[in-house]
Amino acid sequence: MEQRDQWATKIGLILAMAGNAVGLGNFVRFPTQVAQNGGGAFMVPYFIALFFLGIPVMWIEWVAGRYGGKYGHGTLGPTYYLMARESLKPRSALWLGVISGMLAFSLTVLLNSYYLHLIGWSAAYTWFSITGAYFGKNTGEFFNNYLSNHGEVMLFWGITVILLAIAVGQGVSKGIERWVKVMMPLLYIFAIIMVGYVFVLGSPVDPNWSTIDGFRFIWSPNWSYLKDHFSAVLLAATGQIFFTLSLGMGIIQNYASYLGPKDDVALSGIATVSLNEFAEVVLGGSIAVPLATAYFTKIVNPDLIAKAFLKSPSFLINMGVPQNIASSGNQTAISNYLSQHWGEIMQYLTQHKDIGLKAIGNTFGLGFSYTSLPNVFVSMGSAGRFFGALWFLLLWFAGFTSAIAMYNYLVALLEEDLNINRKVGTWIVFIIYLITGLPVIYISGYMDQVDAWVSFQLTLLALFDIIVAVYLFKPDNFWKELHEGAWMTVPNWYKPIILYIAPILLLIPLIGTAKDLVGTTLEWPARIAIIIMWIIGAVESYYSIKKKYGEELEKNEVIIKV
Amino acid sequence: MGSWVIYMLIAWFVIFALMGWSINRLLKAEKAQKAQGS
Repeated sequence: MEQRDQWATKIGLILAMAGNAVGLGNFVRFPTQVAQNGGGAFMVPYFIALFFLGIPVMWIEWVAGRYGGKYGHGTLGPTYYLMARESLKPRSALWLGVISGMLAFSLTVLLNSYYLHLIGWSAAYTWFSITGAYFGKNTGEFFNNYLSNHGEVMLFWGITVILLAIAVGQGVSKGIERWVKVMMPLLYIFAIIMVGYVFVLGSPVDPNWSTIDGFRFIWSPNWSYLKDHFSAVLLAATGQIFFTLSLGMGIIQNYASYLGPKDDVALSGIATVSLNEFAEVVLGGSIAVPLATAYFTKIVNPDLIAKAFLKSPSFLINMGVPQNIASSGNQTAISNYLSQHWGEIMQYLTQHKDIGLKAIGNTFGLGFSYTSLPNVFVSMGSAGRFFGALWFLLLWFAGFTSAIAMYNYLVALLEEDLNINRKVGTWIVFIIYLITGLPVIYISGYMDQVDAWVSFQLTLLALFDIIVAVYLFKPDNFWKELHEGAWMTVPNWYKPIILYIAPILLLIPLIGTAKDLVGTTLEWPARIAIIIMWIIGAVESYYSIKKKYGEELEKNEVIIKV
Repeated sequence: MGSWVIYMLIAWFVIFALMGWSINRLLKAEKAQKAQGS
């Protein structure tokens, strides 16, 4: 068996994994999801998903990664073929490997098609902070103007993708650890200072809108919203847990594949989860949403409210908009009505802050943080230019380190599975990223559609994790592997959680949202991109398994066994 | 202050505790392993 590199220290690996997991998912995507899904209504399934899905699936992926590493694999297709082989004949196991590999490949590409844009936005806002471009402006309108300037969006995104390709070309340890060691602690320190600042900020614009209202929105369980939108909120929460922990993408398996066969995975999994959750819930949850609340009146305008609820007239009717206007689907007519009655509308929104925040979340999608945060830097005067630039630069690095891990996974896939030279592989992925990233610039709504699909596919792949790496690998084997060299004993009561509760929790949102997502949310460009990536992923996985295990597939008998 | 403050503090505390416990245990185990190796 081919000798692979191994991690020098466990803490180095944990920091690298946390560096990979801590990124824009915490500071950009999490607040967006909270705002879009009813605040406290989102947090309830979020914590349920963390405990019943996030932690178990993290263990499963560490176990699978280390197991694949024993056979010299760092990618999902061949690893899951090997695990499925424990219960199935090689030819049947092949299909499980192909589907898993296909899901991981397509997910990583689809996710990066827009994730790299978020990193590009951070680069742009670093520049805008230095130049003071958004100072004295409505930050919502400024963000929309930026997005409509395609040349500018492409410039910052292009710089990001080129720098990424250069960084990945340098190799695993050099490429990742060097960046993480410097930028991670800096980001944590700055974020902690920001949280402190947010807590004491109070009501900087309007006494009716304070940062504390934002915290109240996040931490007050909203049962009625949860009841009315159960499947959608559950999917958003599970999707966010997998997104933020970098689960369901093959990346954790790839990192864990560089572990020795007797290296701990149980405690390491918990450490990775907790470091990320600190960044997400404590830091990420205490910045963008409270700031969006405090600066609400500087972000919204009648147009924004009209756009946010164009397809949900019931919200407009509740605000007092006549039914014929609210249901007209005419954004200009709704906006005109709102402008004429803006005082009353603001009064309503002051009493229903959750609806106001939902409006910002719906309209800007993943741009939520980019509309709320700049306000706090504006309030600092000229010092805000420096702090704004520093914050967005750190965000850029956080996203960049996560993107390095995903990029590495795709390059490893080409290198290990298809014997494509690392340098050539780096540029192949670069071209894939360029092609898949273009629709985000030119097709309105594409980014948020693909993001919604990513939540779905992350959940689907997590279900495959359990089917293959637990059930087909055999639960007793999994449990034994989990405790091999473990520095903690996983309580026995986690076994039924992994075997029964987790699959049910994954199936509920998948079944509840599939029809709406595929039939209504996704439009053709997004559907086509998903189908193409599935096909490429399936072909790649098939060849990678066939190349190494061709003989045993032909005989339909297990030959290679470590 | 409403009950939301309590929910927030409990969530924060659990996350802090989990982070502190796991990292501390990890560092100790790694140190012990190194000592054993040398």
